[in-house]
Amino acid sequence: MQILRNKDLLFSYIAKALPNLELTHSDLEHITSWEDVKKFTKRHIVAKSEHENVKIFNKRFSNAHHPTDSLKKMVKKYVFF
Amino acid sequence: MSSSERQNWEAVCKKRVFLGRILSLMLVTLLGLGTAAFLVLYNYSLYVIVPFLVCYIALSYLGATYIVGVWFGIFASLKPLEKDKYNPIHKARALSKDTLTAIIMPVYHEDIRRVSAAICAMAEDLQSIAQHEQFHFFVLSDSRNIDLVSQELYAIEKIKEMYPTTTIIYRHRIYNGDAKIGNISDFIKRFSPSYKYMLMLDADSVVPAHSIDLMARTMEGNDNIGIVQADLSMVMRNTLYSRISKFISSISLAVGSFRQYFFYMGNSYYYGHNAIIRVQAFAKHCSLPILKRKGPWGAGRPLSHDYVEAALLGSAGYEIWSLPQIQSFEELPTNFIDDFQREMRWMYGSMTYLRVLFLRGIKPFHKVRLFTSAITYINPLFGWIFLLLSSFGIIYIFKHPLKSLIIMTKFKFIFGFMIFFLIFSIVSHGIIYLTYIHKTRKSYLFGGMSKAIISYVFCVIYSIFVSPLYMCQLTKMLLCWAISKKLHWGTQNRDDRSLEWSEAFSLTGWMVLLGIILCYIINNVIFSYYTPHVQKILRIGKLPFMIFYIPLVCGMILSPLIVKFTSSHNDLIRRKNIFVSPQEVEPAFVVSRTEELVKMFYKIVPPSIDFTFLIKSPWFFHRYFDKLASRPHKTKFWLRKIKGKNVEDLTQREKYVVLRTRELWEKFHVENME
Repeated sequence: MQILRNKDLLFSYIAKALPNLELTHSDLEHITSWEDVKKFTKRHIVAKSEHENVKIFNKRFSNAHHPTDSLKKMVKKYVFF
Repeated sequence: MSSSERQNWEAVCKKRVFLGRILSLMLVTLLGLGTAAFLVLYNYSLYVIVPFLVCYIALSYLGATYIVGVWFGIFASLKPLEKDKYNPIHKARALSKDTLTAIIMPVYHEDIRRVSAAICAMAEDLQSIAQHEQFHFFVLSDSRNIDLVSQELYAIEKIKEMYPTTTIIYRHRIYNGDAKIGNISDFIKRFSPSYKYMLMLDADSVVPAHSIDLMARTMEGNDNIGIVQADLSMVMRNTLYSRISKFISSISLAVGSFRQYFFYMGNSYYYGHNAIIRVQAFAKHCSLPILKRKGPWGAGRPLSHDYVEAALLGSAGYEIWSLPQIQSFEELPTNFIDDFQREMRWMYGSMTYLRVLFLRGIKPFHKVRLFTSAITYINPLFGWIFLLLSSFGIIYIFKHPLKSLIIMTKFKFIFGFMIFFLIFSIVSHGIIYLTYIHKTRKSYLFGGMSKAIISYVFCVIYSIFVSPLYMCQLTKMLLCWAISKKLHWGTQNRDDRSLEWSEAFSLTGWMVLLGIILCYIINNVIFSYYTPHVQKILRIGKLPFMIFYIPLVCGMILSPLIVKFTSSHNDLIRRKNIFVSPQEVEPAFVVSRTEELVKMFYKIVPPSIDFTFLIKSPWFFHRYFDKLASRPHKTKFWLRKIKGKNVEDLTQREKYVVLRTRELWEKFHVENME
């Protein structure tokens, strides 16, 4: 495979597969086969996803308006018969 | 809920329905007697009186039930929840730890960006719920186009990466038999043992987490409930047509939903989406019949399955509650063409009820509901008969002016009552709705009370002018059904679509022609009897008689203009705060978040994504690869078939095989990697 022979191509390929990972060429030194590529990406996909999740939910809870107990609120608003 | 409690609400429900029917009948009888008195005084033949009264009573009974109902609706809407002892929400309790709820979204060639945005918004909102891990999302795809399926797969992987703690399952059916019903059955067969409840959504639905949680907890606390239907509010979309629909539905649905809740209680409606269902009960009792072709009725399973499923579940002893206290959202058609397409599907589906109601085991209450739902679509025919007979009535007045004058003078009170009732029926709804928003201090959600009143008046005028359009189109649909014209059950257009003039004319061209013919008949036949001599005797100008025809004829002749104009975005109306709806002023988190996320998904899942993009993408390959099953035998067989072919040369079937076979997926990716 051409990407395994050319380290720049391999770097570019892994960077596309794992866009959120800060890669260095040294991370890819041990990758010598297509199976290694698959193992490496699999490992990082899980780790990165969890990290992203934390970021998203922190953002959501700091900015978003929360639905309060609208039912109670609604009941309070009524002018009773 | 114990059996005695059930008996309690059922007894109350029966009393309320009986009261509603008696009051409606009294009203209709009063109106019918007034009309009959005129007909007898004018010496009409029985051949005219009887059909006229039948049409009159049929039309006015439906109207009367609504007029009577909304008065009870406003009473129910202002009654505090604590004082409503029959409401099942009181028994809501936390889900037990092993209870799972599936939130299912069947899709067929839908805009996956909109679907994904709604899922993400709901997933984010669900984080505020303690038991959020017990809710799993399912996207059940029936799409046939491989490029759209590619976009769906890509979008789902994006969501999974964004929300790894949310469980989201994507399933694509190879064969889409029985359309949506088949898709749901497939879910039931595969996943029902794991899930106690399923929240049924449409591709345009958005439900706040609070509502999802409340629905699930209500089910958990009431073992005898089969379905809890949430209240539906229309959101998003900004054409004039959508804004009017949103305004009128927001202002009327609150009272309307409470009316339904007040009368039907645990025998209420299920609309096929935004409702939570007890999975095992549904699986056991809601197997839909396969009908044979007979007359205009097509073969297969009922198209509109929701009412049938509710009837089956209700007849099996389960309660169906439609709770206006639980809020949910859906989008709406943005123009007349899309609305009529949807209406046509509903009409074809509703006509099937006329066969389904003869199934054994369906309780009389549900039979009546199925019957009334079906005959609603026959109303336009009554409308035409009513128009024809009324025209004969006007001719009669012109032919016998002296007699008419004597009768009108002598029986002024009957005449006055009829006119009063006509005005009352138009005005009373408005008064009720405006009272509701005033009492609940919600007028600011409609742009203020004055704007709400102005908008409502515009809506009434609009409704008068578009009624002929609906009457014509529904009649056409009914004729199409009667001659067994095949229905194309395609995907629903949910975009803000401004129509072209050509589209408007293709829908309404025949209505314009009919309007011109009617105009000619009215002017040259009916009003040919209106001579100066007649005018002198009656002492009534031409205009009061014309008023009866003006909305009808204008509605028909101007229909292309109405269709085109209402499909546009009118900034002036928006700036003037006319037709403001609550979700514009105070959008729920899930709605505003969905709108934000749609824009984001257009960037990350562009519509240009196709199968070739998918197979070349390193990002997608590695996320999808591990989910694929290894199929060595299939690989061996198909490798021979597709030997030497590039990705672009593969047929749709071959692409599906590649998408489902781990070895082939890897082979094509390695050969085409970027």
